[in-house]
Amino acid sequence: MTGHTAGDPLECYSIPLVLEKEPEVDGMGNPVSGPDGKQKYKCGFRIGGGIDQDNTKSPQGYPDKGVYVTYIHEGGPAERCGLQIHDKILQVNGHDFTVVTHRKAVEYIQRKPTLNMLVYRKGVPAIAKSEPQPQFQSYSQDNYAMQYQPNARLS
Amino acid sequence: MMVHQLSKKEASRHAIMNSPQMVAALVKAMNNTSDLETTRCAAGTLHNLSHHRQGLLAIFKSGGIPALVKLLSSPVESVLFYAITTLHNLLLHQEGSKMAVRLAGGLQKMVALLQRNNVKFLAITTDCLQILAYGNQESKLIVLASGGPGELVRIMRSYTYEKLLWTTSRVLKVLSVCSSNKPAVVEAGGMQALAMHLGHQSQRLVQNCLWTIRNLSDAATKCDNMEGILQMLVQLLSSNDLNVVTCAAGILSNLTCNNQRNKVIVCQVNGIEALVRTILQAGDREDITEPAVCALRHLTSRHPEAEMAQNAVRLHYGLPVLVKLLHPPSRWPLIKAVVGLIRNLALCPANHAPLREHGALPRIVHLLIRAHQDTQRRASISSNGQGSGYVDGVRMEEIVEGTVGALHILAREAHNRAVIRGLNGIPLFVQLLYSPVENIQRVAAGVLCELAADKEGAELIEQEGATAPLTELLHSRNEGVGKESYATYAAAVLFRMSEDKPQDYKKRLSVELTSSLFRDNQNMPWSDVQPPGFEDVGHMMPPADDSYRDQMYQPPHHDSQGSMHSNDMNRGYEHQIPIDSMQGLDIGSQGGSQYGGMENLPDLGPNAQSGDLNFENLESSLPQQSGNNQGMPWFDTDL
Repeated sequence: MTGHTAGDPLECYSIPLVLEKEPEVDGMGNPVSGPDGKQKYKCGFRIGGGIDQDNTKSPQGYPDKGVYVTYIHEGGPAERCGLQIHDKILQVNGHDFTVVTHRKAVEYIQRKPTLNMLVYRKGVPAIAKSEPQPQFQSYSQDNYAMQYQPNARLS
Repeated sequence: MMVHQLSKKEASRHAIMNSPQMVAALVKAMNNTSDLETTRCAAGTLHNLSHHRQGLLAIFKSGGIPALVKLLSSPVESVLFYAITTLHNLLLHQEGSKMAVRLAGGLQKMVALLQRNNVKFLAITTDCLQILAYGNQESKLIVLASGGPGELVRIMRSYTYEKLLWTTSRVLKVLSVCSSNKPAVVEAGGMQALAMHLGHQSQRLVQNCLWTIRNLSDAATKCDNMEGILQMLVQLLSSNDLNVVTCAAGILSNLTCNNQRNKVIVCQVNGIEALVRTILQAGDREDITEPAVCALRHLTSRHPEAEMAQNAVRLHYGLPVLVKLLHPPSRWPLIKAVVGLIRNLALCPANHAPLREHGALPRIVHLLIRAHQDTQRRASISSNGQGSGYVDGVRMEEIVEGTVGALHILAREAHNRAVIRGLNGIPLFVQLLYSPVENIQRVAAGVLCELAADKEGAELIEQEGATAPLTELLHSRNEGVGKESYATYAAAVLFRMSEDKPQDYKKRLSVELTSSLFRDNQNMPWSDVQPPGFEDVGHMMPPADDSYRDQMYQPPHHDSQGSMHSNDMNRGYEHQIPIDSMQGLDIGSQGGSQYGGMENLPDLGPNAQSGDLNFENLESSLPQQSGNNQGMPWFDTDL
């Protein structure tokens, strides 16, 4: 499977997803804060890739330098919002993820508690033409084969 | 030998026939002797006997058939001839013979005998094959496996004896309904070989060839060298024989389906004129009009001469009769075909006014209403809410889709739009936005898009409460094919509807639309624009979030830094791209992507070219990139 060259124009069907992060809690149910004192959130997925990574080294065999979902935590916010493993993230909160470093991708995702994402998923069909297909009539029917009878008049 | 002589005489023949032992003995003698003369005489005797019912029965009962089939391998011509003619008589008149011949392996031997060159012999052999193969799938497959199609096609090409051509064409006809034989016949050049005789004097030969060609035509769409056939078929449309015309129309319809080259050829040999004339002369004979209309429908779209064809239909006075065919007594299959053709004809602006003048619009709307009501009725009756039912083999959803599709194209013209508005089309189209059928949603959005071009139309659309379903469509998560096009239409309608609204509403709307659409990189920068639906989200980071604020950066105009730029009307927070992170990002010179909102509305007509990202088709740049990958890691991060 071939991939997309970072920086090239891209046009495809994409799946819009809204991920609401979950506040991270410890074993007792108390909220966990980060070093800056702010509430930490978790998204429930892992990403790999970026323009500064070598995708040929990816165990999943990703075809290009996009950012891909490499793991979905069960029962987490990512699973709930419909994100799937191997989805290619195209855009998060307006940021273009087809031309982004790994670090930057992580940063954009960590910034906001809600992620409005557009992803590409394999199997989504290519953009189709909007013209209708002409109808096709098959004429093969047995009643066009003439019945043979002795002395039959052939009509 | 003596028995043979006796069998030549009438009276003694009866005597022989009436003695089963005699016949059995003959059969035995025929089989077991190594003396050719004996064989010949015995075979001859049986042959004489086979002219009578009793004789046939006697032969059959004595196991004559296997014996005779064995003789089909004989090197002696006269033996061969006796054997085949006796078998022929048995097949014609003796019940049970067919099965017996098949069981005895007669089919394979007969196919092998097709290589002989005596025309009368061949005529009888092919007739035997026809009798054996008719209605019997296994026999057809045996004929195929024995190389029958090739031999039969060769006969059609090589001989001129009418009776042989006729019997062979009948075998081919029988084979042509078998899905395994069809491709083999086509590949052996069957279409062309049969078409050679379409000008023959013998009507029965011409008719059989036509039937066979028609049966084969759906498997022949990838054939080359069709110019001769297509030209002949166009000529045959003028035949006095209605069967011939019917077949010719059907074949043309199939051969022009999805085949650009054939479409162009038919146009070039004046096919349009001939087809229009055929329709005019056929009156209400739907056997003829339906395939002819389908052929015209194929010819008026998706090939280089389509526009010429669309004009030609009008120039040869086709429009009035076509609109007439939308009325009774036309049945749904014909109506569906005509609606599709009118849609294509409407692609040509010169046809807009004439179609309107002949009353196409009210009739199409009427058909739409009827079909729609039918689907509603079925949906309310059936338990699972599915409305799908067939009337005359046509689903009413297809009629809804077809009529709305036609109106979509007709609505390109302002006067037509006024008529459609006057016919109260808009409420119905808005209703159709809720249809469970995606294609119907798409065409409904499309026609509304056209209608929204007029102020009156836009107002009516809004009054009908279309904003809600259109927005819904826009944000729809359906992965189905066509989502992009109706989302595009939906966006366009919403935008056009907003033309009168205050400036900031428009801007906000266009932001939503551009990000939702995610298309056409030239015009729609797809960078840091807010995805839709965001205003409902409660988790807004306050603007005071300075630690994360990135460096401001001026919106570019037409420079090569590409399409990333800031957008300061976001609700509450900003997300500019910092300049430092732009280093090394090759945004490329996407050209002057002016952020002009929807001014550069992409062409939403059916001819809109949208490229596609097909991950399978893109050039792989991986080989080049591998050189740049040295030392770069690959890892993933948990979030």
